[in-house]
Amino acid sequence: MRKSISPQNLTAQLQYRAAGNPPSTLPGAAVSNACPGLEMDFRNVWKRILVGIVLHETTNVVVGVEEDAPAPLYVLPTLYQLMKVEGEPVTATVTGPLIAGGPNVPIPNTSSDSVTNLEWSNALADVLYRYSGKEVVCEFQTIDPPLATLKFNLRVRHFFEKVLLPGGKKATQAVISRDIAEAGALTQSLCSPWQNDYRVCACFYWAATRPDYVNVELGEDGASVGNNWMQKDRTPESAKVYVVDDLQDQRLLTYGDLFREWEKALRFVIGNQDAE
Amino acid sequence: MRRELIELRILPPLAIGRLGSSPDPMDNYDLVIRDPVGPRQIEPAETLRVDRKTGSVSRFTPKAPLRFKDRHGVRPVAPFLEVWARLKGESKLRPLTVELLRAAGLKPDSVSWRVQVANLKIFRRTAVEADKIATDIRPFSDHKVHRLSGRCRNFLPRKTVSLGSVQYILPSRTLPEIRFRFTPAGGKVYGLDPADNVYDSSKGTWQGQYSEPQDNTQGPAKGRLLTQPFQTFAGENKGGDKDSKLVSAGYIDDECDGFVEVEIRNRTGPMVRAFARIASGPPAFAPDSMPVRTVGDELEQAMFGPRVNGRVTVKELREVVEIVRRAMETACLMNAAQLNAGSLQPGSGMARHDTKDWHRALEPMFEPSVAETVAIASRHQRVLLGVESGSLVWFANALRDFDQVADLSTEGRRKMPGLMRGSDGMHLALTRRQVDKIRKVAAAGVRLMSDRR
Amino acid sequence: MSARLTRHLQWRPPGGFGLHLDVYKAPRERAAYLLRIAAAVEHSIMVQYLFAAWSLGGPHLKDPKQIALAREWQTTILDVAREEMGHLATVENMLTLIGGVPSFARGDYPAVSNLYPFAFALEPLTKRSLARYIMAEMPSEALLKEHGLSDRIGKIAGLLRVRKNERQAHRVGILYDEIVNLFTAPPVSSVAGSKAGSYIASADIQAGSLNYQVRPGEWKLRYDDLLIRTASNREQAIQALQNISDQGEGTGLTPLNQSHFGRFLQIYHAFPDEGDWQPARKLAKNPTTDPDDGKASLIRNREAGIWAHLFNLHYKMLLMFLTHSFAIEAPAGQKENSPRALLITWTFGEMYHLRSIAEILMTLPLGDHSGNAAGPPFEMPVSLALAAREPDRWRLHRDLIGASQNYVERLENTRSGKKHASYLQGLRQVNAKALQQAITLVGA
Repeated sequence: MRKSISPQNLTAQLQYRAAGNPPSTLPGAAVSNACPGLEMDFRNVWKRILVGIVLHETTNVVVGVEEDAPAPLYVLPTLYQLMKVEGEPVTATVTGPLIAGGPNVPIPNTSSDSVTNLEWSNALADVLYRYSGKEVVCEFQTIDPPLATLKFNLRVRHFFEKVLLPGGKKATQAVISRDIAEAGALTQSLCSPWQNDYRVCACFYWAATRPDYVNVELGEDGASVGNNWMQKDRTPESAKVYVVDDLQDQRLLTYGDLFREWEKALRFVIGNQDAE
Repeated sequence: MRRELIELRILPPLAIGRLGSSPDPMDNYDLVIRDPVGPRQIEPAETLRVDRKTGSVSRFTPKAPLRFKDRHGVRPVAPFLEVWARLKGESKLRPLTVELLRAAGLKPDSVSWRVQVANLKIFRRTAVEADKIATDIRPFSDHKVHRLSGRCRNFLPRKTVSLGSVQYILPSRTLPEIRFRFTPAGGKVYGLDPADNVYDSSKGTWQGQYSEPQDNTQGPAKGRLLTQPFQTFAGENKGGDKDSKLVSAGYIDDECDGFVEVEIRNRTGPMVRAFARIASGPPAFAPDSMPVRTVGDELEQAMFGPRVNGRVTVKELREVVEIVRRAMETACLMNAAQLNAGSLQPGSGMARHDTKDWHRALEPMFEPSVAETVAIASRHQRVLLGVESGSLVWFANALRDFDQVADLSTEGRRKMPGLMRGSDGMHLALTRRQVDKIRKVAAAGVRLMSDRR
Repeated sequence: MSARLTRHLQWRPPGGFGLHLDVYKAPRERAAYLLRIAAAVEHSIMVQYLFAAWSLGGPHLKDPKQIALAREWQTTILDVAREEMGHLATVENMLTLIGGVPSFARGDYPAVSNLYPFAFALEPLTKRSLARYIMAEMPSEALLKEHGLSDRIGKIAGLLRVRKNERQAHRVGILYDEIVNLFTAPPVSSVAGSKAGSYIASADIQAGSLNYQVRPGEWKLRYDDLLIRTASNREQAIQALQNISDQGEGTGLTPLNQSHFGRFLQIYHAFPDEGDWQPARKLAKNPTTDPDDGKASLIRNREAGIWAHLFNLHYKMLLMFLTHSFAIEAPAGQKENSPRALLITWTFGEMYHLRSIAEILMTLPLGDHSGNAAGPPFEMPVSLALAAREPDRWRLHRDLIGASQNYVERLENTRSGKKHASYLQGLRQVNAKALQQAITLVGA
């Protein structure tokens, strides 16, 4: 156990592992490609990053205003989306081929628009670093036609808690500030119940935490063989056939199995092999 | 001479608990790299065992192999939180102990705790305040187990959902530190059976009424308030082709997140306080593997920015090797051939999203002849082995930048990380800081000293 | 180029250079012959450039500016080497297209080379060796004049004592030109002068061979200029071959300063003169484990010798995995299984192993009185023959991996082995997993 930590050593504090805590308690064990996530939906920390407005955790739509927000901001919720902060776009044009082998062009989504929001964490990373506590120029645009733009100067909320020390100095702590997210805010947009995120939704994106392909080995034809982690009743003798995700397939766990019996049905995987 | 406590911290500032219904929390373990290109080894580590009746704690080291389940169920991961303090006249924070309290003229019961946690999953969908499930444990200094009983105005009378429990650990001579424990709930789903139904469907809409239309541009505020992805709750599809919607079955889980606060009133002088955040999630089912992009990476970027300043050293090289290792661990557990498929069938990966969400031509992302789990895992192993000999340059050149996630060209979809989805639903990019660190280490050609001079 | 490989080639001296083949009348066979030579040349050049690039840097450099320069030049030359790799892959693809056999042979240390102006040499990068690379890759006199480089090249030629009438622009380019000619069908309208049988027949250009060619997507490691081309018809083949030539000497599409020639020239001008600081390590020229090779520098130091054998073994493994992957058809659909992915992965793995082992070799003494360090010998294996039946091919891989394990075991107890214990441990583990996989595939 460490004997001391400098209050300025924020890295040590962020990464601190208390006595008795396994590595799975660490933020470094929690996924952050939050779509929506497992241990938390980290996107929620960005909702209140700009004082006065509440952003959607995912899209760039303004979904609300804060209690003491100035009146001009009231026009924004559900009608406007944030486009730029200090000139940096928070959106990108989606490009790709419309036919295989074709040229890369802006491609429309189901609502005929080729623009997508970028995740806040990366889109605002530079803004947060340079302007924490300061005002930034925010450019908003109507979602529906006619297109109209509004600009407001909004203050960037401090991400980490600031503490007033005796003597008047302010110190940054390693804990996410209270103002950023209230109790329950970090987990609110996760699947409900969480097992929903395990069964479908193409949830294969957190393989290190929610495995997809287990008991894998090289087959005789040179390709791998193994099991789908969602396959029921696996034993070491079970055939190594990956059953593709299909809600109708009896060989795979159902929602019901997961809601009622997840503790028995889901196996821990160690060394890429079924353990308990 | 009585000392004064100037500031407090609770460490870690964010602790993750993991659900499980066993009354015996998971042992502590370390993840040790014995095989430089293989899985980490789970090795028993010094564990703190708490007597819930008294709050007293003792040390022991469990024997291998560790058990993640027992006959009761999955063993929850119940994190400890420690209080650290800085005394007046000192520059560093130290673990707060009985002795330090005594030096300040205080006792363990001078330390007071408060816990606020909530499960806002229903509220996030219905936007109804009365659907918030929350609990606020008033300040306490005893060592009893305090249940986090989640209350909700839209619950049936006297019904609550247990969100776990907390306990102020009784310090002892051998373990004199001031510590606290959060034990997550058991991972129960409420509403499956009438017997454990807690929700009052005469008051709220969650059970059988709340719905989200398949066409997510419909509904209140044109669907702009919905979560993305939407329809991420348990329910039943109702309606025809034109007006299909998912109607909530009213299930409720026992995850939560919130605050643990500590407060100490100095004998003379001001109150000092600190808080930390806790959250509970499902178990880490591959406990020897770590995800490639994590909340830890987010916090590092939020704290220090998207670029690594100054010279990169062996420290950054080690961090980058860790990222490469995590990529390997993830690759080993993914069915690359399946996830690479250019198919609209469920079970396919990003190609399906790219075509369904954006009208991108349907085709696999990587050449099918190389999208093969054993081959990809093998490549990552070799990259890990050759990190100091140029393989890192390859990795660095292959990374996707944060503003390239919308590049769905063949080239764009072959960048790293491959086959995975990011927070915006597009192809995953690492944090900007991770990318910057990898590129800078690759460019600097930082080398570890060899094992022995 | 070994005399045996090129003995059918003649250069019309002096004053004009051209190819004259005295055998192989059939155009397809002429093309295959020339493509094999091209492959050998690209392979040799690539290895030469790799050695030169890896030699740059080292603990003898302390000045951060010098370290940065050495690293920058190393990156540039490695990029060039990778492009040669792409050329090699493209040439093999063209061989596959016309039903020829992919060849990974190499011409070594030619005493007299008409095709390549200087003897191939594995040597640390010096101003002189840079000058040789520049001369070997240079474009036509006309292009040099156009860019005002005639004087500069004249000086470099003078340094190497190359007479003007011996200077020959990018001879390898001439090779490609001739191959392109063989692929080129005359326009339909022209009748006079077009001989049937002077170009490769359409029947011999097999679109179906595409599944056996290496595709950019299988190999490309996000180096945008890594030029691997496949071809399924005449036009594509011509374009692919012209692109290779272009990238080397810089004509047509590649700007001169981005060609291999141009990039070497840029380094040359910034490179310190003899007597000044040395960007490269002090390595022996043409290191070898063969005591009978009088022209090379025998690695006498015992430990360095074992590492050198390990290096040569992994070089052989790389070439065998690569050869084997050409024999496996890429899966037509998404559901077909083949070990192609594994072989391509293993090939790449070997590239990393070679660099890692080379880095270690360069820290060990040659073992003579020169004070030179050892270096990667890149000795060609005796045979690159691929067994006719699949299981037997995996038997070879199994045996080679097993041999690597033996070397690893021997090295683990040596001083240098202990110094690099984590690398050896990692290699042991990688080998162990690969061994299991090879055994599985033998049993298939």
